[in-house]
Amino acid sequence: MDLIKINRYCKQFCDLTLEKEQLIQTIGPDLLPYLPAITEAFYTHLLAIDDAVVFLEGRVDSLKKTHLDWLSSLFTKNLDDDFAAHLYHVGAVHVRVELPADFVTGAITFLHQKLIHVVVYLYGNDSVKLLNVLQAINSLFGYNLQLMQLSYQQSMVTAELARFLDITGISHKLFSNMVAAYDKQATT
Amino acid sequence: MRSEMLSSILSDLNGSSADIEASAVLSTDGLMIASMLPSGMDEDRVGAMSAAMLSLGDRTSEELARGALEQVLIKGDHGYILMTHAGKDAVITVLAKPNARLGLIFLDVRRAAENIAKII
Repeated sequence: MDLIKINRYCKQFCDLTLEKEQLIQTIGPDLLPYLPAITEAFYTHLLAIDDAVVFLEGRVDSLKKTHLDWLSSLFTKNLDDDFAAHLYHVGAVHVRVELPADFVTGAITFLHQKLIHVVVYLYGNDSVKLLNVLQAINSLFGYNLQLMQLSYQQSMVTAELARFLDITGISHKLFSNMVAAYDKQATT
Repeated sequence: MRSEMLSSILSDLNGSSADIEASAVLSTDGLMIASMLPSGMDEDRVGAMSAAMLSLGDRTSEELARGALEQVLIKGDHGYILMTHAGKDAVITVLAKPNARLGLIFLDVRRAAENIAKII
């Protein structure tokens, strides 16, 4: 797994340019005061969804803190390879606790919507800035979503393979040798 | 030296019955150790597939309460594939003709497996 390449790929795909990253950092101080309320609204929203509640019971406060840390980091930290690695790790943890992948899509959509409200409230009187900020935030959330999706894909394949090997008794080394034997076949 | 001894065992095995067409010794990780296979048959593939089948056989025998695995036998239109452990770290795979007399082959393969286990 080449996280440098993955990070570059996701930024390119979501059109998260350097200019947009800089704009996100610039507006960070304006947005930060609103983020705790957005996190609160997000968990209120989740608690009303039956299928989501099972993942929250007894953990809401700690999850809120983790969520707010992540949301804040979008506007305070560099979206560098370390950030991508951290998000990739979060995706792997989600898979381990069997959090469905569609939850991430739903969450990003909800948060994006809430942030649009804040951004329009803050910059609505400057249509050029408003457009630039909305585009930057759109790229930012798309980038996060794409990173998480890639992490989910890889983690799920890894988890399913581990389960298969565990059931069949086939060792990782034997599996690697099988792959090598068939890769060789494919290239000759 | 070891390689020559293993090849000799396989040669004797293949010669013990006209029904045996090929044989090979491989590690339980699927790597070929010694073989007498038909030309055109990929050693790496044979090794990996045989070890995987034996591993699955081990697990199946255990899961279905059949005790320790003795052998895995596969029959296709063109003959048999017989796999058995040769000690704890190796596997012997034998390819036999469709009308092979299996009883004799089982005995010969078991004897060969015991000899291989002493060497590996």
